[in-house]
Amino acid sequence: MTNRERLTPEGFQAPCRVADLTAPIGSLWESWYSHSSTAQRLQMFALVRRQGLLYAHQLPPLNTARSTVVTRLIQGEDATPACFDSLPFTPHDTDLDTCQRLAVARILASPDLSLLQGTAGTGKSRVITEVLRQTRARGWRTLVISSPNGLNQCLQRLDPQQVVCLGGSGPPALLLANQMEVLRLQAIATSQRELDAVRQRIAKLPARDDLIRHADEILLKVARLRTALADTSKQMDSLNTTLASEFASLPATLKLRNTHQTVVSEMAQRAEDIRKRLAAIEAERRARAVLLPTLQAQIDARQKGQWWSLAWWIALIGGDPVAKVQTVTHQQDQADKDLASSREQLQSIADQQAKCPAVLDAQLDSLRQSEVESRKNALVARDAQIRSELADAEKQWSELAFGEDIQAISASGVEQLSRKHSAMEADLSSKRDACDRLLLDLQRGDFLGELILKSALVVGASLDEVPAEAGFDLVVIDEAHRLTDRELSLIATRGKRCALIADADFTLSPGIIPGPNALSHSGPLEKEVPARPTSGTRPHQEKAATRTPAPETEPGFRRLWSRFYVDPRGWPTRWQLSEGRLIARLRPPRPEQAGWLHREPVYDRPDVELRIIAPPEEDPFLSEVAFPEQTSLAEAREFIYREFQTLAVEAGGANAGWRQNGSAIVLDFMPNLSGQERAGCVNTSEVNDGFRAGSVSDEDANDQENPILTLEPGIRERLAPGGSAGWVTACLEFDSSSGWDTEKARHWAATRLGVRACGRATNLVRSYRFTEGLASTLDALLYQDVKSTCVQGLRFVPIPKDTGRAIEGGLLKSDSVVSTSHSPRPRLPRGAGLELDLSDRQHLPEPPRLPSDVLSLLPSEGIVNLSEVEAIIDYLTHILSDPNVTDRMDRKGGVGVVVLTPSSAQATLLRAMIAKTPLSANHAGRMEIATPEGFRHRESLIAIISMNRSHASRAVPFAVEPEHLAEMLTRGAEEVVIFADPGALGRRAAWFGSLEFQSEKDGLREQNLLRRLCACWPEVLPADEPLPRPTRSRETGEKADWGERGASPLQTRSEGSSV
Amino acid sequence: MRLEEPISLPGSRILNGWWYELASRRPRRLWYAHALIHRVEVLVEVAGLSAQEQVYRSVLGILAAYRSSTVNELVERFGLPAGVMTLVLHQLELEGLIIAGSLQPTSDGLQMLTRSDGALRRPQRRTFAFIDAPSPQFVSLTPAASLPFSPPSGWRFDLAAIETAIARPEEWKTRHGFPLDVGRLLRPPSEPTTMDSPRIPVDRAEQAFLVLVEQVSGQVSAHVTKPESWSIGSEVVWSLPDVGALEELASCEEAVWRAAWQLWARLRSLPAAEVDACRLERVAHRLCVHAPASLIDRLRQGKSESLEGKAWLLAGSGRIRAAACLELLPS
Repeated sequence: MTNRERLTPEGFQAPCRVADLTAPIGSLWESWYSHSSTAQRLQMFALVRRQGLLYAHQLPPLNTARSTVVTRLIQGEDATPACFDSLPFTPHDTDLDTCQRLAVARILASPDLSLLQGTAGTGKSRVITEVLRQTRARGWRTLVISSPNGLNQCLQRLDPQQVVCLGGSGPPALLLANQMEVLRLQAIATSQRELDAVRQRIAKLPARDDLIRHADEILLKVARLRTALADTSKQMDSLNTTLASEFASLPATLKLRNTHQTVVSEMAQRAEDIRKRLAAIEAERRARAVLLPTLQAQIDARQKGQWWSLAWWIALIGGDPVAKVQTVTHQQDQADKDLASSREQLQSIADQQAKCPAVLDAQLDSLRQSEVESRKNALVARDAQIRSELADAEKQWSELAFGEDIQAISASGVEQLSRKHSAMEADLSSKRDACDRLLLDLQRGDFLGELILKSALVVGASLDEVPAEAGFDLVVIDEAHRLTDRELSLIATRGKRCALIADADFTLSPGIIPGPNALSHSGPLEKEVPARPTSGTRPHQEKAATRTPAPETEPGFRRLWSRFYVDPRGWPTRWQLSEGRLIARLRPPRPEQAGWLHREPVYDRPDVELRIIAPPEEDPFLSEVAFPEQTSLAEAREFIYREFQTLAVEAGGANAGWRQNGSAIVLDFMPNLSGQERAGCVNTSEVNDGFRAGSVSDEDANDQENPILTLEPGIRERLAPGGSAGWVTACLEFDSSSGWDTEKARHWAATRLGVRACGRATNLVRSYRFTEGLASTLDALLYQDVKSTCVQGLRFVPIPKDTGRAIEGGLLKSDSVVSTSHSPRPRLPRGAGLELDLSDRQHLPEPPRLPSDVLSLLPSEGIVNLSEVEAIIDYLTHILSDPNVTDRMDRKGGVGVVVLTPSSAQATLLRAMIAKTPLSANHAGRMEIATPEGFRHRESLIAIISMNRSHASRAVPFAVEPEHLAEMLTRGAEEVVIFADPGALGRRAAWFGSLEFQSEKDGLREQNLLRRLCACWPEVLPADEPLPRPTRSRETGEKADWGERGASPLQTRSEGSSV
Repeated sequence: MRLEEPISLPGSRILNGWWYELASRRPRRLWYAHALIHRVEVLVEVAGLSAQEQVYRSVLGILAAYRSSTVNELVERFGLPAGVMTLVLHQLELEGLIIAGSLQPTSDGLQMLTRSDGALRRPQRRTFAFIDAPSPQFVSLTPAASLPFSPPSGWRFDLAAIETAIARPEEWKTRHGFPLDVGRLLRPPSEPTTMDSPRIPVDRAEQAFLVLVEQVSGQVSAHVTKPESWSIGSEVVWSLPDVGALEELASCEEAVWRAAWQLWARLRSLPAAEVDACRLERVAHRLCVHAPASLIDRLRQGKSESLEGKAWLLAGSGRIRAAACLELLPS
């Protein structure tokens, strides 16, 4: 069980394990056979004849291929890698800095192995992305192995069409492994739909006999309808003719005529009646006309009194004749009127009779028109109905006849239809089978993934999903420092060449390995010289520089790094001006040696002073050479080289590399830095950027302003501005015309400088993530193993709060520190006992502090600290209510504030508790809670760290691996806020060795980091004093012994201080 | 053949540590194995299609069924990137399965479709792991669990062990994780030539340091350990349905436990007579020793871990040994 796999308080830690790499990569035999000679093969066949099979150990070793060189290099075997020159390339990402471009060039050019290391935020992912773009442009197939977060960072800028990513989760633009499964499921769904459709069609397909019968019926019906339609059309055309012949006999016509005849008859009758009446009236009128003279006679007789007369007597007897006359007259008048009226009537009738034929004709015409309209409408309706029926029939046909045009079907077309039916049956069956098969294949196989893998130019994979396929042109292994040699070797076999990318090692060793500043430690010889920027320089790099072999136990990447990386800044030579003299510091003495200084003038140059360290019982050595002030740097360097055969090289860059410049072979200490960059960098060379000093590029090589020294025939040292004395070595040039070739030059450099296989390893040392203050603090804390003098960007919030208030910049903001006069501190710092062990729920404090709904969400194992969670929520509420902070977050984009904790249980608790506050709704996009592993490769504006552990009575570990603590500290770009129990922190810092699940080494590393962290806030946390080593290891199971004093220095300090 | 190779054995504290480290797995019994493995790579007949053939056949099937298919339709149907589909079609063209320049299957392509999966047998080199024993037993041990080692002289493997495993019933294969699709072993001819190179079997000697745990469920799972540190991996590298699946895991006889007890006692200079007088009883992971009071007193005076339940011993002489925690009880 490796460190990463050790049993933690939260149960088995998910191991960072590489997927099964051995099985499917290819056959051992086939691999051997393809590389073996005929003689070797025959030899093996002979063995098979005897044994029936071969034993692997009998297979003769083969000529190592390039990939084998990689494997052997990784495995630490003695393989001599080939030399190569970096290739020029046009970067897609024009914002890459020189160092990053150098890294890309080296990865592309390396024939076997290349290494890249960088501290947090130096752009490793960016380099990988550029490498992928370059390899894609070259048509290389590249495999990238990283964590899911790392893959996202590297691949998100690439065209997703050409990227396949296995494992993890990521932005939707990428085709990730789970999306591959989604793809498969989509394909399954599509095929299933298709299959259903085909099955439906098959189900609808009638039986052949039914089809034919039905088709017959439809065809007959269609024929009938078509005939009817033609008839209707014909009727329409002949409507007028038909009507003309039929009209007279139409009932309506007959009825009309009859009616007319009746009317005429009635009129004649009426005329006759009127005539008869006229005759009668005239007869009566004539009779009355006769009566009137008689009556007139009577009236006369009466008036005359002619009584005699008969008339008188008649008038007397018969009544009044006047009245009678009046009556008769009246009657006559009436008769005249009646006569006139009757005559008018008669005339009227006569007129009507005269008009009758015309009226009849008009009525007949009207009737005719009406009949035409009626018939026409009926025909149109009929036509429409027929057409509708025809359409229905044709529709039935089209459903039945597989798209065969009904017009084309002849009477004998049923046979044709039958054939069509058979073909359709076969077609549907075939489709169904194809869909079935595809579905089956999709359901049972992952061939889609395999297929995609085979075709994608860029394949990203997490460690758990390393594809079985070999033959990639380049394998990029990110986070290589986390893998074992075996894992690295196995992954490397996937490709022809391999690039290992790793985080710079945190300098967490507890003083066992001297820190970089040990080399630049100022002794009593001279005044304190400001330390050179040594960011990125690691202890093992120092060892490489001084040609100390790396320990065997070092893991793969670190060992390779120490073998291939040469840090020119680690060379001890320093030039400086001091006390009016130009000093060349060739070898700094150890502090205890500084008292053994002897000064001697050079015999023939008495103005030059040699400073020799001659400690007792040790060999004396030349430490410094002091020149008169007016001595030029060139003269001084030439003097040292001539007199002592020592190269007094003080290089500015963090990377050294070979290149060809015309006829010269150049060992460049600041490769590829342009003159402009150099000019900009020189003035800032003291900043923590090891690549600030300039380099001599090709076009600058002829820059006459830079001094050029001739060390010996054909070897020139070219200087560039930089360093304390004004100049640093830019490069060494070996002139071909003087007999120098590549091999000779490299050998010379290896002998004089220890520069052996440089060009494979690139160190990125310029961090773009942090603000200057935070960068400086973290650099001192994590990488340089020195006490930070000014803590910037790093804050500490003690939990519980009554142990002090938030500290900023190393200054205590409150004087309400716990006073020892009232509560004397224990001999060792004690934690507040705020942590809760979820695996021991029976002993959770009463009354329960954790809300029951939250408790149900928490895992069954793990340590949580509710007090820290509450304090963090308060802090989050505070900062997220500050518009300045939120504006900064919004401007930066991405995650604004991340809460990190080494415990996944604590992370769960944080999420659950924050979900109960308005924070989660109001600031969901700005805030994230994660474990260090979950937030790897990412950054936020502010990082809040919940250290979680707070045990009351014993020292406890804070993380599974100390790197997790370092990773948490490097996630915030502007500010890092640590919430922790100072007592628990201090106690851990005072405890030597491992605790619980930690290995001895990790225990010491964690202790060292926490000691340095504690030293940032001495007012609250125990001071950073030299600690005595325990006399016995905990590995033996014995308790640590605190040496003669019997207690840790922290105890001593706590007793004597008022912290 | 069984080799008398030196065996690396963990000590009592290591065993005790494992027991607590594996506590989350609810162990019932514990074994330690320093197994020598034959990882044999042979040519066998397997049923079914390879992934590539699956793809080809699926695409061909669609092309045959939907004669008017276009590349876009295929892309949509398979959910594949267009580039991938183009690659497949190009490959189909190269293999003469579709007519060049069209999406129509050739007669060969149509013939490929007519074959059924089950009937298809294709040769494939496969690797099988066997525990070195007089009759080697197949183990589905993950490749990462074992490490190559230089075998001693006399390292032999009989291919008949593979044939025996292939001939076993499906139930056995399922229990032991033996692949079901393996049809038969294709041995090399007696006079192999270069044409027979795919048939050459290769046996790679490997060794595995394993901690086997019987869980409450009865399942036996194996974890890798490293003799340098005796740390154990969390991943299960081999599992068996029950202890009966492996002969070596069957219960040790009392004589074996007694021998282990006697050895343990002899190393601690306990009187042989009292040791022999003890009654042994195996209860789960414990070996209960009903010992005379004087023996217990003697151990108590020596502050023996056995009285704290922390003393473990291994029984047997094979490469797989049962472990038990000593529990001393007054007789």
